[in-house]
Amino acid sequence: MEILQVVGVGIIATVLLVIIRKQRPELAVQLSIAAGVILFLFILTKISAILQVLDDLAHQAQINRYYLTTLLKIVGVAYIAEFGAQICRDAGESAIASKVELAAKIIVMVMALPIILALIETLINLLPQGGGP
Amino acid sequence: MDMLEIFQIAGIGIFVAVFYSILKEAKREELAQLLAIGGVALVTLMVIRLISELFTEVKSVFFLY
Repeated sequence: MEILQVVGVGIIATVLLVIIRKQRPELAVQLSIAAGVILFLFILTKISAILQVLDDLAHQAQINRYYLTTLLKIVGVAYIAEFGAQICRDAGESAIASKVELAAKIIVMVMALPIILALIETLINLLPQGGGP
Repeated sequence: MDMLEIFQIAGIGIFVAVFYSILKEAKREELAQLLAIGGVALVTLMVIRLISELFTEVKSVFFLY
């Protein structure tokens, strides 16, 4: 099964990292990046399958495609930011990691704004016009 | 699941570590430094290629273009 491969790669990469960590810490960071990338590339095929199902369901439910793509963009931005921030934190640079996460939050906020505005507009339309006393 | 890159990087790391100490014993500090920098450069090239592959994949999956 796939999980066995993933765990195997993880353990082998960890063991190799421990060997290299003492003499060549800079190569150890790059080896951990490479292992992270390989593991995620393997999972990405599964994620795209899930997203395909989500896409079809949204299509059947006549949901506006724009909202789904924005949602997926936000998930993608969140993942890449977490990937980068975690690498920086592993290398000991938590200051840079927090900056990366701050930037990611702002980018996600900017992306989510149109949806929030649309939501507020629909809410306002629901309210009775000219309201009671 | 190509483990090739992981083993290549680990091999380069071990190779550089061993020859670094050998060159140090042989009183060739500058050569040892050059070897270390060369190793880092080579591994960085490989890792950057992997990261660019990851980013193109993520862009296509999450419609991030």
